[in-house]
Amino acid sequence: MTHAYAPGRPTLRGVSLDVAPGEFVAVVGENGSGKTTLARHLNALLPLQSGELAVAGIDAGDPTRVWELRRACGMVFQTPENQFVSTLVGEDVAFGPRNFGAGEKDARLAAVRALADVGLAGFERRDVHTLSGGQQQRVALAGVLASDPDVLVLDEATSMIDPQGRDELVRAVLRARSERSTALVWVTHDMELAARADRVVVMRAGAVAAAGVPAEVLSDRALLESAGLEPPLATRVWEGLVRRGAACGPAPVTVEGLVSALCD
Amino acid sequence: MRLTVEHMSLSYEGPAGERVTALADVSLALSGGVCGLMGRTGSGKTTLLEVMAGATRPDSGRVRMEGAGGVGLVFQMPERQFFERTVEREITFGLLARGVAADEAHERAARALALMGLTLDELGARSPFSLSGGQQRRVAIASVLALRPGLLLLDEPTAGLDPRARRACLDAVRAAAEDGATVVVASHDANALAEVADRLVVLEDGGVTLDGPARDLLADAPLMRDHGLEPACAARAALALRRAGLAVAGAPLTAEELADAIARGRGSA
Repeated sequence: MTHAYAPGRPTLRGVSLDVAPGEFVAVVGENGSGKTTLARHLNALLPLQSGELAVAGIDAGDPTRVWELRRACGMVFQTPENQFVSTLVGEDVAFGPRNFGAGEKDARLAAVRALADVGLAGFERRDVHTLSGGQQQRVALAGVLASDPDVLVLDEATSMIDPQGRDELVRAVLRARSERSTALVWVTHDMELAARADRVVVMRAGAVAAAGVPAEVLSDRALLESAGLEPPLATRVWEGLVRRGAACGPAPVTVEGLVSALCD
Repeated sequence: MRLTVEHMSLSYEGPAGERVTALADVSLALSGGVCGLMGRTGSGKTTLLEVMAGATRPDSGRVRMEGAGGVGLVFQMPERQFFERTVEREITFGLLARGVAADEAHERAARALALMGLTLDELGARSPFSLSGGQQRRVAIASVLALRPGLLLLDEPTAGLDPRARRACLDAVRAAAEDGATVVVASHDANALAEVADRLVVLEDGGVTLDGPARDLLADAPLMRDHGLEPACAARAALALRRAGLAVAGAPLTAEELADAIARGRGSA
């Protein structure tokens, strides 16, 4: 897939990517590397210029199937307050299924279920603007889950909320994934989060620079630096230990990995 | 600049007509250096910055400023306030409005942008709206740095930035303090504050609950958690390692310090 906002200045350059059902793929890269453009394509928010894209088996190049594709692929964006269509939590969450053709009763039921799934059971009558940033992001997540998508795309969805809100959102997303087998494409700068993915995709200047399991990709300092990134804390600590002659072998990428590498 | 906040209180009407306390009898004296401001969402950080900047009037208490340079406030997501056609006009706007000559304004804009790791030659003629998110944030911060404020206040300056932009932002914060400015950074990012802050003030429900050397507080993972805050990554990892029975010396705050503390622990074991 290739995409250019201005002629001659492509933002995506020949990106190829395959995400399996239920897989958690983290997309990392510096600002301007094409992550958000890629994410927007998955939800058909941008017209396909060249290349091919199928989401849940739906051809993104077929203009008659755009709605079907958007139901199959839900998206949560960076700033929660930009995503609401109603001030009432229950109304906002029911909007998705209603919009995709569900009857009134089914839409409401889907909303109640989705809110329970993100840990906000009973919030239907609350005003979205009285919620914390983390709660707002979970309302946005519920709004997407209510349409029961096959793919969930999160674009920097934790970067504008506080650490507690971030942890709540991560828990809710991972629970939804395990209960519904939703595939996750999570665009993030948070290397500690990327380390928990099944696979990490590194974007560099609009192209995929590398894709692989976190243990391989996130411990490769040269690769990450070439993409304007740095390894997660556990890897950096391990590098420091290797330099001091206090450790050897493959670097861990999570704190849990560091603990077991040092204590075994 | 020396800043004194005395017995500052502020409340407002909440959505259900109830009184919400934003600040409750806050007193602080700052003179030089970088002060980190932490607290959970709704604890009063943004309100305190606005009151310090004179943008919000408190119900009671007062703010005194002694020294030159005025106040520069970088709001959360400052890039949302862009309104000029070019990056150069965006950065020089405040300077020209204060009567700085065009040549000097250009010079100061170039220097401020260079501090943020970008060049005016490359970006000056572009629309600020055409830049990437990380570039926009840096241009927005540069437009305040160019004014060389004596008191520099930043609200969540690193939120959403990639490592390169974050690095540039933290370096510029340090540089402003070394130039003599008094800097206050409100942030949830304990790792960022571990790198730049000399002092840390923690707000809870509008009141100051912790105030001390940033290093000591940020490295104390249990203390931070008790106050509902996330400790620096390295402090959290050190705690996990100690719980697993490993000797970790001192109070490490960065990956390098943690590696050192583990290596020393292993050497003495």
